[in-house]
Amino acid sequence: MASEAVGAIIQFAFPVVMLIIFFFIGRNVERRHLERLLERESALSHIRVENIKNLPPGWTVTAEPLLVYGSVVVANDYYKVFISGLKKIVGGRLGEYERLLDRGRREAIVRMKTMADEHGCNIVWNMRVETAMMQDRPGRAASSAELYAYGTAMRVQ
Amino acid sequence: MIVVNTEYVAGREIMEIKGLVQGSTVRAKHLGRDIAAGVKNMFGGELKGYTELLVDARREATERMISQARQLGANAVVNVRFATSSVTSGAAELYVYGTAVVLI
Repeated sequence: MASEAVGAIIQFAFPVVMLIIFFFIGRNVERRHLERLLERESALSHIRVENIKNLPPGWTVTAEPLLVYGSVVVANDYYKVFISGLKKIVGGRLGEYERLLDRGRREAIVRMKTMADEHGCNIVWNMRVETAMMQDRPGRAASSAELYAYGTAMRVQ
Repeated sequence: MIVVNTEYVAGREIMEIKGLVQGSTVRAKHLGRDIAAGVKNMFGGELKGYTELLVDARREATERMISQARQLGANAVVNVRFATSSVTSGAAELYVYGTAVVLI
């Protein structure tokens, strides 16, 4: 009897403990990432990014244009996957995934701008962002996504 | 070789259009990376193994496109587009296409 009760407690307690642990780990990971993103975004703020095709008249290009890109595969933690699973029962906004994709997209754009910066470019024109799902198992919703940003980097005066 | 995703190259003129060029590759992640990513998946954040895999694959697809353009005698590829599709579980196709042109 006693061992059965202990077994039941362990079976019930284990997922709960996991959820609590990953709640803090996930929150920490997210906060650190946002801090790093802000730092890098302000360091790269001198690079202008637009999604229009044509350069304004009067701008002269001083270096060869270059295709720049940034890519990142992001995933939510155990806690966020569990909570959004619960939210799916009632439907509505899934803030966990909204924030994940937003962070991923910003990361991809920052990486693209870093590449432009390394090649001495000061603008990125015709920027495009794409999202691709990495399927874990057929029939199961993908839990990780790739965000990919690309554009034409140039040096203008 | 100039590769851009704009329709023309600023400050240069297109003399001749050589046609559509494309490159593609299907890549799968190996088991070790899969397991590592599975563990990482619990913690959240970036799955670096997958990022590297996709960046490498996209570079290879671009290389294939460029070598096609070179064969046609072009010196630039304009209006480049990328596409990704997952064909089977754990594998992705990276596809890149553009128009090969001769610039003056």
